[in-house]
Amino acid sequence: MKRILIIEDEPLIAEVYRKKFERRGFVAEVAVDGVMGLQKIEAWKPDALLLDIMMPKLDGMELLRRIRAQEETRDLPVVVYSNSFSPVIAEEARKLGASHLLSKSETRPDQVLNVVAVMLKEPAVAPFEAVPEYDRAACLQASKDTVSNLRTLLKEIFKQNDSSRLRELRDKTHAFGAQAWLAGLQRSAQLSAALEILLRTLCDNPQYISFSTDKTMLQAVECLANMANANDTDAPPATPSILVVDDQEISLQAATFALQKAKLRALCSSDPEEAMAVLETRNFDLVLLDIDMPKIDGVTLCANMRAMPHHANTPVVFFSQLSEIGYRIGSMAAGGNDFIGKPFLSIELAVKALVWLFTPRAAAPVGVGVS
Amino acid sequence: MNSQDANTPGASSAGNPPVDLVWLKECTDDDLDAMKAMVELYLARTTTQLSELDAAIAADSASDVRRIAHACVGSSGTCGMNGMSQIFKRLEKMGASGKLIDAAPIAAEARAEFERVKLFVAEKVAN
Repeated sequence: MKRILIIEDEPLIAEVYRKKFERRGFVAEVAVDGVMGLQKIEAWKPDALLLDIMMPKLDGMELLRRIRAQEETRDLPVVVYSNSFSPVIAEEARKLGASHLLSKSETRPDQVLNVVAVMLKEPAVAPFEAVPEYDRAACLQASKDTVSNLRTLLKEIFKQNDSSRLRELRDKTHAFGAQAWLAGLQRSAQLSAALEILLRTLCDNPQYISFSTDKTMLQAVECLANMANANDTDAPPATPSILVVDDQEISLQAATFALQKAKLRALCSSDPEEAMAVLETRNFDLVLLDIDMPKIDGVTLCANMRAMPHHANTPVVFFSQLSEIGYRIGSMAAGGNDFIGKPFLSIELAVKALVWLFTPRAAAPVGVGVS
Repeated sequence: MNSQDANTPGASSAGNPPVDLVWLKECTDDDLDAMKAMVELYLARTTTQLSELDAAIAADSASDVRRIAHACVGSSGTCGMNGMSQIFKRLEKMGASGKLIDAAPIAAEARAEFERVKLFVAEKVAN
């Protein structure tokens, strides 16, 4: 029987995979960190690895680098699976010799098994084998517990004004993402993957921490908690409809890049009059508006939009460098739902967009409005 | 828990590089082609806007100075051009106050900083 080594620091995920591989006729073992992984590779000589990236002691990328440098393991099939793929990380993993890259939030466990089976020239599993109900229930409960811890931790970080603990928050978000994914909470997995990248960016570049990023983190955690507690297993909308209006071409380009990070596409307009005409005839799931624009400013555009019955509840997020309190009051009075300051981290805008796309229309994320 | 009142790529000072490369990479997902396209767009727009600023200052049009400088603050911040952003903020404030007495030397400062930006991106982004 072929041997699979699962290198994964989240015990619940590791156990789900171990059981699934064994049910499919493989022999599977687990290593809970990169150092243990290296030791088991040498001692146990697996036929393939299922490798997480973010792990204690030695991360997955470094482990991959080391095994590819060894003659014995140069060709060992390695499936790298993670919630942490940015294009840069994915490219680095490919260069290091990953056989396959799978995104945790977008790949079902049976698909992971299929990839491993095909690599080892074993029969593929059935097209869809759901996570067994008992595993799913355990993952669901674990995700609820983890998101509750996330909330508590974030409040402590804010209370203590201690950004050094953001790494802890990032690691918990990472764990939550994996649990949510196995529990079938697809939207939670998608949002937590984006939040994890935002947290990693802020951990690496604390100079980018701002009032705006604080608020976005809080909104994202609350949104995750609400979805987990509601057992929200809805799939993300296939192609959410987003409109971005900004007279500055560079800002439109930046917003487009930002939304792409969350695999979102938007209709962009640099002309507020043209945008008004589009709003009259089309529905949108989310509208992002600049405030300071010629002809029609964003606040007026929002007020006009609110007069259209089909846009009475469409979420509107203003983005503008006019972050003074007076503009916030004006934008909220005109019917805006939220605010992101310019310049924005692109991943922050991606998180913000997902929060609003996943928030029921009647509800509003916390921390919204004038602070 | 915020270190700044608003998102601003790392604060600028005379000794700092004119472009926050980490910010620019984050903005374009570290995609070199996207980064080049963004920078080209920025350089073209800012070249035009600097000329428009000179004309607005010469015509003593404070509202135009505010409007153009405001747009430049936004595009500079978006691309991580911190020094440019700081200088344009001063011009925007000056335009909003209606008094353009010291605007011309600040616009000259912006042109000098723009030359630093061009040299920097030619070395770090173009190739």
